[in-house]
Amino acid sequence: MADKILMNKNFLAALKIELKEYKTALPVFEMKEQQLKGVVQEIENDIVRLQQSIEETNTKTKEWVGVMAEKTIDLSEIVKVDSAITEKQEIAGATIDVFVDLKFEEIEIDLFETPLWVDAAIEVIKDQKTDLLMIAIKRKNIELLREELAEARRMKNALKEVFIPETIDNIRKIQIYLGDVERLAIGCAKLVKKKKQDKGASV
Amino acid sequence: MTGNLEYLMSSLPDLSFQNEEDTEEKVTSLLKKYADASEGETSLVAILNNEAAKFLSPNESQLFQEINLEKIHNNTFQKRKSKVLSEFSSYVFKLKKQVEQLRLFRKSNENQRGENKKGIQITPGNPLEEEKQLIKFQWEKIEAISTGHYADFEALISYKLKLMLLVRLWSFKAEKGFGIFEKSINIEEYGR
Repeated sequence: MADKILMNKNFLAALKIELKEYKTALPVFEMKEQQLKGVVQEIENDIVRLQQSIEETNTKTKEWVGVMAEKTIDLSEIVKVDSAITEKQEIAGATIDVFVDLKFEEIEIDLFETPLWVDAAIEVIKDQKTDLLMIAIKRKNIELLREELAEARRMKNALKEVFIPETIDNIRKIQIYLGDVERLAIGCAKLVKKKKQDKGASV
Repeated sequence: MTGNLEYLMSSLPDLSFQNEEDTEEKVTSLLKKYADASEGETSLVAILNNEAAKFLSPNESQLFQEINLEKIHNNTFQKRKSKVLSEFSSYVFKLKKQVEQLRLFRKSNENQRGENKKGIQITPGNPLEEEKQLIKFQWEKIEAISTGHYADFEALISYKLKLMLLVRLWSFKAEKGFGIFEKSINIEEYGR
């Protein structure tokens, strides 16, 4: 938006184009805000659900977790993450990572030498690691989306509270000014015409 | 020698298949009385080994020290002259083979726990319950093969085997286990 208002028709036309653009952009930012709010809420719900799942697994595991105190095998050595697979996804202008899979290293377990409980321990550790990684990815996404949401909200508010009202006001001021100028010109023309007529009659 | 062993066996705390804390404390405190105060913290099995060494011949003492629950299924133990040792060793070997079959079966039949027909007859439960069943099976085997032995070397071997089973059972501490579990699910290292 221009800093200085020029009281002419060209500037009025430019302001009208600007206003039209602002009015087109406003619903876009409103929609973006709504969409991002929805996605953030959805991810927050997912995190709560994953945390509940982790808690439930912890509660169930506590019933038998004592076996893991046995000094036979180093669990952190037999359940090692190989790679976390994610995909990029664009949501309302923000690029986030979407969890696809968590690959674990293929470590051969001696089913004869190791105790029976090791199998269940490996499974539960893999499950918890996967859920925890999913939470970590989702938290990072929420951070990104909140930044994008704040930006969309700033833009929406700026358009709604500042740019559009100011432009409308400036258009009104110019229109009033140009109206006054036009009326003045008509008045002058009428006066000139009348004077001409009076002069003609006296001759 | 037998008389000496009679003295040793009668002075050792009674062992019963129990996982209660007071049983553990009772056995631990009684066995620790044998340990020299200057030795500091010593395992129950080490205390028994040291104490038994005073009453056994060098060969017997060496064999006694070698008895180890983790390696008890080894062929060397299966070939021992001691009936208790060889029979228990063979039993554990067979048990481990059955457990291996059960694990293979479960791996190939996810969600069908405990339906293994040809393998070990174990009541499906959580891993702690199943582990306790396996220890109980071994305990009952020792009881069966050591019948009639009260104050001889076979009785002392049975005592050590039982003590090792109890030590393993008592090592299943929930708090410590949960600490290890929490440490092993840590994902910080993956930079997320």
